[in-house]
Amino acid sequence: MNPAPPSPGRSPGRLRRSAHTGPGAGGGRAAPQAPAGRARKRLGPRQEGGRHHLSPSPAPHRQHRAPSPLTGPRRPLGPSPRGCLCRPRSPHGAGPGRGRPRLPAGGAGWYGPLPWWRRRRAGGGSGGSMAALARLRARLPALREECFRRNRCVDEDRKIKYKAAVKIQSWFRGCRVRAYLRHLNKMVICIQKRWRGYQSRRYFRKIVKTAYFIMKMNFYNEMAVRLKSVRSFWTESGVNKGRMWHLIGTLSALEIQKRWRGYYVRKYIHNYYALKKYLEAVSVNNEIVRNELQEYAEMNEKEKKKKDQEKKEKEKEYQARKMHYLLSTEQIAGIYNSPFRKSPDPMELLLRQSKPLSHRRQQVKSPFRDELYDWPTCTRPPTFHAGESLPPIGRQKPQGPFRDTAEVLRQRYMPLEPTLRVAASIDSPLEKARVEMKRGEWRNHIHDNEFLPFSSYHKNEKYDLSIHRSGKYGQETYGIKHFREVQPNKWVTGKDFQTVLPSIVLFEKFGKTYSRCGQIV
Amino acid sequence: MHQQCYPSANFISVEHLNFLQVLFTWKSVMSLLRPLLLDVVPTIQQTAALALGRLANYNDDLAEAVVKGDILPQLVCSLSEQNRFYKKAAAFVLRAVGKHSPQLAQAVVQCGALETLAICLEDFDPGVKEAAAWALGYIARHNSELSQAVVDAGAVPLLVLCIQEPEIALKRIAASTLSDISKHSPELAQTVVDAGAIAHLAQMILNPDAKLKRQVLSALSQIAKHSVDLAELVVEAEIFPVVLTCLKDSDEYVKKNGATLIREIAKHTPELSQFIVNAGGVAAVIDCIGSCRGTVRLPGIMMLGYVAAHSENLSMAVIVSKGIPPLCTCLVEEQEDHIKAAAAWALGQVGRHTPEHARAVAVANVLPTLLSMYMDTHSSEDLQVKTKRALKNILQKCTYLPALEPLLHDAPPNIMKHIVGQFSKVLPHDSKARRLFVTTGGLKKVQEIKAEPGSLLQEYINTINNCFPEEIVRYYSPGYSEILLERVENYQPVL
Repeated sequence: MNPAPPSPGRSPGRLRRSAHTGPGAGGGRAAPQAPAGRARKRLGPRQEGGRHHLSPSPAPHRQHRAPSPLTGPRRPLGPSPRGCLCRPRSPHGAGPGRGRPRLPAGGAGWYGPLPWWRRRRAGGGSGGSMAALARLRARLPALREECFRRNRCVDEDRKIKYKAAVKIQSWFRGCRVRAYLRHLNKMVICIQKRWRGYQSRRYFRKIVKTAYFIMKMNFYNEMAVRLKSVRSFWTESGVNKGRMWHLIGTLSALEIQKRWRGYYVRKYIHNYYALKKYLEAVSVNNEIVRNELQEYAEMNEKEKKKKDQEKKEKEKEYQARKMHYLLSTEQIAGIYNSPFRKSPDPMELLLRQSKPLSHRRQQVKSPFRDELYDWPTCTRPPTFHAGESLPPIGRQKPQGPFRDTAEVLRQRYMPLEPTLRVAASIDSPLEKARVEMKRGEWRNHIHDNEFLPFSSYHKNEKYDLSIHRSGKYGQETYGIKHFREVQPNKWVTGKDFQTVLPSIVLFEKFGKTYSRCGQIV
Repeated sequence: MHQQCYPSANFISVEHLNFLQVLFTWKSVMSLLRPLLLDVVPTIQQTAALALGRLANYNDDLAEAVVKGDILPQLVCSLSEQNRFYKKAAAFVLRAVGKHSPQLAQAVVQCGALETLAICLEDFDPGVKEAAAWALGYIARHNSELSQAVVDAGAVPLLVLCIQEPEIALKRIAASTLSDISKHSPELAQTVVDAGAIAHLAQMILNPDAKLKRQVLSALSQIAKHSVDLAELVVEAEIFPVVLTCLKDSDEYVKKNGATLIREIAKHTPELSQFIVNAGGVAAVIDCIGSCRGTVRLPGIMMLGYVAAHSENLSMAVIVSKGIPPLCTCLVEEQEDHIKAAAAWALGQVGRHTPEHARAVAVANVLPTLLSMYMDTHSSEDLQVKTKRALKNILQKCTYLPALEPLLHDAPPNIMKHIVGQFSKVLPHDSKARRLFVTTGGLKKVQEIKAEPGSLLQEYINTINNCFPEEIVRYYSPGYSEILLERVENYQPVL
C-alpha cells in the first residue's frame, strides 16, 4: 500500500500514533500512520513552499492523504491535525457539510461513539441471531453506561493528555526556535567579528604608515642638521672619503633636493659660465664691428677727400689751360716764373704741361633732347651750331653810334634758349596718342567704306573683290581651294606617315566629348 | 600779346610777397590768376598755375583763398589732359595747398585730386611723378584718414614702382611719401609692406646719397615701429649689419634715423634685442652716441634703454660694450631736459637688475648727478619723475657702499629710506664696511636723520645701530658732547 505522501508538518507521528492507538485498537491504523510518520523523514523539496530543509517548521497545514482503505474516502481533518487529537473540530469547508465528523470505521472510540452496528467485532457472527440479539439487548444499557463512562474517562484523559501534548509540543518548539536563534546569533557574531577585525586592521595599517612616515621625516631632518655640522667639521679636517661614506649613509631628502635644485639651476637656468662666455663673445664681436665701422668711416673719408682733391685738380688744370698765355717765353718770364725765385712756381710747371684750351665752345644742351620720345626714328637730337667764328682782330671801329661789335656778335650768336612755348609741344601726349591711333586704324582698314547693316538696300550691291583674291584671269584658287603647294614627285613614299607611338587617349577626345552645337558660340 | 600776359607773379620771390599782400588783396590776385588758367595758350596756363602754387606755398591764408576760389576742381579736371609742365605746376599747387593743415588737405581730397595724382604717378616724365608723389606725401602726412584716402586711391604700388626708378630725387620723394603713409597705423604699414616696399627700401640703404638714406631709414623705422611682426619682416630683409654703416655716416640725420630704426626694432621683444646685440648693434649705437651732440643722440639713448630693459643678460651686454660712460656724459652735457630724462631712464634700466649691474652704474659716479637733477627745481616734471624712478631702481639693488656714502648727505627722505635700507642690509655682514662707514662719517649722518618711530626708516636705522657697539653709537649721536658736559657738571667727585 502506498504510504501516505509525506505530508507537511507531520509531527513526529509517535505521539499521534500513541494517542491514536491508546483507547482504541486501531492497530490497523498504525500501519498507514507509521509510514506516514516515517514518511516525514523523507521530507523533500516536493513540499509546498520548500521551507522544510532547514527547519522542521511547525506550520499548521492541511495535509492531504491518499485515501487509505482503512480511512476510507478522504476525510477532511481538523486544521491542526496534530493538535486536536482530543477534540474533533469541524472541518473548514471541506467536503460536504456534515453535522459531525465522520468517524473512522472501526477505529478508536474517541471520535465519538460509533453506532454499535458499525463496530467490527472479531469473531462475532450472525449464528444465534435472535439470542444474540437478546444478549446484545441485555448488554445495551450497560453498554451505554460503559460507553459513556469510557468516553468520559477518555475525555478527561484526553484533556489531560492534550494539555500534556500541547505543553510538550510547545516546549519542544520553543527549544527548536531557541536553538535556531542561537544558531543565527552565532552566525551573526561570526560575520560581525570578521568584518570588524578587517576594518580595524585597515585602520591600524594606516596609522602605522603615518607614524612610520613621521618618524622617518624626523629622523631625516635630524640627520640634516647633524650632517651640516658634521660636514663643516669634515671639510675643515679635510677628509674626503669619510665624508663621502657619511653622506652615502645618511643623506637626507632635503640635502638631495638642495643639491638637485642647485645643479639644475646652474646648468639650465642661470649658467654662469655660459653667460660669461657669451659676454666675452659679445665684446669680441663688438670690437670687430667697431673696427669694421671705423674702417668704413675712414674709407668714406678718404673717398671724399680724394673726390675733393680731384675736383680741385681738375679746376686747376682747367684754369691752367685757360690761362695758357701766361706761360713764360724765352724773352719774357711769366708771372709765375719770377727771376727772383729759386725755382718756378708749380703753376708755371702746370702751364708748361697743359695744352691750350681750344676755342670750341662747350656743347650746348640741345633743346629737343627732352622730346626724344616724340621722334621714334630720330635717335640723335639735332644740335644747333653755335657760332664758331670769332670777331676779326684789329678791325677798325666803325664810326658812328654803333654798339660794340663784340656785344653785337655775342648777341647775334647767342645760343637759342627756347622758351617754354617753343620747347613744349602744344599737343599733349594724349592727343598725340589719339592721332597715332587713328592713323593706325586707317592703315589697317580693309576698305574705306563703312560696314553697313544688312538691309535690302544693299542686297543687290556687287561685292568688290579684294586685291588678294582677284587674279588676272578671274579668282585665284590659291587661298580658297588649296592652301599649299603640293609636289608629289618629291614625296618619299606614296602613303601617309603612320604613327609609331600610340596616341594619347586624352587628346583623342579633344573636340569629341561634347556635341558640336556648343561650339557655335 | 599773350606773351606779355605772363603773370608777373611768376617772377616774384618770397620776400616780395608781403609787399604783394600789402599792395593787392589776395582775392584780387586770385581773381586775376583764375581766368588765366583757362587761357588758350598752354604756356600761360602753366605759368599761372605755377604762380598760384607759389602763392599758396608761402602762406596758409593764401592757400585757403585758393581753395575758396574754386580753383582746385578746375586744376584737377584739366590735369589729365595737359602736358607735363602743366601737370607739374598743378601738382605743385595741390602740394602747396595740402601741406598747411588737415582741413586744407581734406579740401584737396574732396576735389577728387587723389585719383588724378595717382594717374600722374604713372606718367613717363620723372618730374611729373616727383611732383605727384610729393603732393601725395604732404597730404598723407597729417592724419590716418587722409593716409587711408591716399592708399585707397591706389597710390602705394605706384610709389613702390617709383622707388625703383633711377632718378635720385624721385626715389627720395617716393621714400618720404611711403614713410608718411605708414607712420599712422599698423594697417597702413601693412599695406605698404604688402606692396613689397621693404625689399626695395632695404636695398637702397647702400646708396651713397645722404638725403635718400635719411628718407629710406625713416620709412623703415615707421614701418617697424607698429608691431612685432612688422619689425621681424624688416629684420628679415637683412638690413643688419648694413644699417650699422649708416650709424657712421657723415650726415647727422642719417645717423639719427638709423638709430631710430634700430630702436624701433629693439623695443618689441627680447629676441629682437638679442639679435641686435649679436650683430654688434649695441657697440655701433654707443659709438654713434659718443660722436653726436644734441637731439640726434636721443634715439640711440632710448635704444640702449630698451635693450637693457628686456633682461639682465642684455643689460650686462650693454655694460660690457662700455655703454655706461656715454650715457653718463649725455646726462651731464646735454642741455635739453628730455634728452637728460631719456639718459636717466636708460641708466635706470641698466642698473635695476642685480647688484652687479647696480654696481657698474654706481662705479661710474652717476648717482650724485641723478640726485642733484632730482632735487633741482629747474628740472621739468618729466625729468624729475624719471630720475627719481631711476634712483629708486638702482638703489634698491646697489650694494656698493662707497657710491652710496655721498648720497647720504643730500638725499630727501623718500630716497634716504632706500639708501639707509641698503646700508642696513650690507653692514651686518661686512666688518670692513662697518669700519669705513664710521670713518667716512656715515654713522654720524645716520644718527642725525630724524625718522618717525615705527616707520621703515626707523627700523633700518635701528638695524644699523645694532651693528655697532653702543659707545660708538652714543658717541655719534647729536648732542652727545652736551650730554657729556652736563655729566661733568653734575659729577660729584669722590674725595
